[in-house]
Amino acid sequence: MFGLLGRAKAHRFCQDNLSAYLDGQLTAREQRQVRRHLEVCQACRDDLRALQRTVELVRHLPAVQAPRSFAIPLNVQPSRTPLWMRSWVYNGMRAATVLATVLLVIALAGNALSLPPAFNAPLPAAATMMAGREAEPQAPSTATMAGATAPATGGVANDQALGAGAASTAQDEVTEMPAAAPTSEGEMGIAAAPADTAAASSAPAATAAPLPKEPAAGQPSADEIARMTAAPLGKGGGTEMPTLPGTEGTPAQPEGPAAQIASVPITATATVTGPVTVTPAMPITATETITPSQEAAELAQTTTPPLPEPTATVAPPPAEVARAEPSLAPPSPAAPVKPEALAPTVEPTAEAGAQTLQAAPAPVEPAALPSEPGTLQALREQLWGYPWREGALGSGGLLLILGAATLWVRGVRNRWR
Amino acid sequence: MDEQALIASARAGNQHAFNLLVRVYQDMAYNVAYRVLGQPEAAADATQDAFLAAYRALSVFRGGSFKAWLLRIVTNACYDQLRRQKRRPQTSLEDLVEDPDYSPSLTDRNESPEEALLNAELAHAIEAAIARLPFDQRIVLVLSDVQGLSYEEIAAATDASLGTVKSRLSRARARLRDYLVSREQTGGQGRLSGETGLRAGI
Repeated sequence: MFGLLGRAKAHRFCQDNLSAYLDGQLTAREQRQVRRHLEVCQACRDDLRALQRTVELVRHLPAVQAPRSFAIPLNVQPSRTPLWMRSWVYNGMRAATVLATVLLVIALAGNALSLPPAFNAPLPAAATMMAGREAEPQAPSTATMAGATAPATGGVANDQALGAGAASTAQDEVTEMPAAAPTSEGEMGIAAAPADTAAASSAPAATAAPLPKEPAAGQPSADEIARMTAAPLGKGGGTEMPTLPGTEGTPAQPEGPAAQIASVPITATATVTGPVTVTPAMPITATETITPSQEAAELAQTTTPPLPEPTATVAPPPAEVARAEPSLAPPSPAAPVKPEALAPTVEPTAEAGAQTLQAAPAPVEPAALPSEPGTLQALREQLWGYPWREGALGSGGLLLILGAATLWVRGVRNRWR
Repeated sequence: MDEQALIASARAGNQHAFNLLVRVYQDMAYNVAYRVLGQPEAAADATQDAFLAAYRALSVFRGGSFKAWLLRIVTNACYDQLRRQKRRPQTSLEDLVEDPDYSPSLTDRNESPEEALLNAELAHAIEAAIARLPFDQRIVLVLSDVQGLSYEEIAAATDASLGTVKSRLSRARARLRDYLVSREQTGGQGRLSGETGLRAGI
């Protein structure tokens, strides 16, 4: 009736249920099953007998008496229900945990949904951070010169000294958002000198390395555009320090380090350590020191894909980069570049920029940002460009803390009920 | 006064009522602690801790079986005691197990004829076997076979499901059986051989 397999199965079932069988805790069907197997299996019968005997022995272990009275001493007062044991606290924490989870999901979804625009949208802001506030007056013209096709460009063009950031943003577009090519027309990047080179030379020249993807329809006239050759960016590109026509490094300030632009392809975390000197009358003259932090360099090396186009022709901003010596705030680890000047920005998203470009090559008037963006924000946007990232981080952290606390409270509560 | 009245009175802050409950349950609590921990001092400490904790947490008691609730607190107290011992070991369970003369449980007991079947050595062997069980299995075995609790009560006291209780008890008993049988086969002395041997006819 039973195959060998069935027999083994029944044996196993019997073994597993001998204990419950002894206690009468099996259903009638299970009981029949066990009994049927017991009839044919001597081993199981022996085991059952031994088990029965074992249980009996344990049952007959002599009881012990309490060695003393465990009555509660009179000085012990019953404590009020501790806060963490009250149910409303616990329920509130559970609700908060759920809420944090929902927030996290929303933030993640928001990131996912708004990702495409996010890659471009933060660019203006990032560029803005880089640009000096002093340059604001020149902003409109600069934007015009640069072709003003990309919102980001306007801000960047104003202050070459801070071009490193722009370069990185431009690269972002080039490497990550090929689809957005039209937008990056006329965009300028500034090739920064590599960290080591920058350190070695006392008066390095700032290089503007625009990275136009394609000739822009609304490109400004050639004479207004200084041609610049961008140093190869990306891997290996960092070692060269290209000097561009019209761009010269000014000698270092007597006091304070000469300004240099050390470029890390994506210099999200570059730290400006020295005062920035922008010499007037030079189309692109910037003397400032941007020392990329170690981490930034590493990050860039590991994360940045080689630039597709080592060289690029640029439309540099018109000559008037007026302010000399916008002094940069002391570098902070979290805030690589302290924006000194506020650059005019155009808010539009990539698509908007593209549309503007196609419809009318006319320059887009950059609108000055009302407030100085925080450097943390710049870092964040350069790194990821997730507009909701803060929300995701915040709600994620909240969820971690709340979840752990709730689990702890639950554990403590469960002990007493 | 019946138990519910005592509980209600104790919850209202009547310490005397609670101490009456203590008197009712202290032997049970101490027995469980002793069988789980294997040491009189540790068991007494755990029992005292449990009653203090129960007194303090009485406002959280939601009705139901006071015994199961109390046993749960005793279980937790035992667990805490065990962890404390592990942190700064005094007399370990193993030492206790290896000491053949140690069987305080058999002293000054008015033994029934059945209990008399268990000689000191066999009782000690069983205690040693229980001490070797994992805590989860040990507590279930003690509650079931020493205290005679039902599966439902054990589930409530250990915060486990009925299925978990069933399987833990099954494994605990099987281990105990195997241990005792092997002891018997390797020439264990005493009553395990012969008539009262584990495999002797029942």
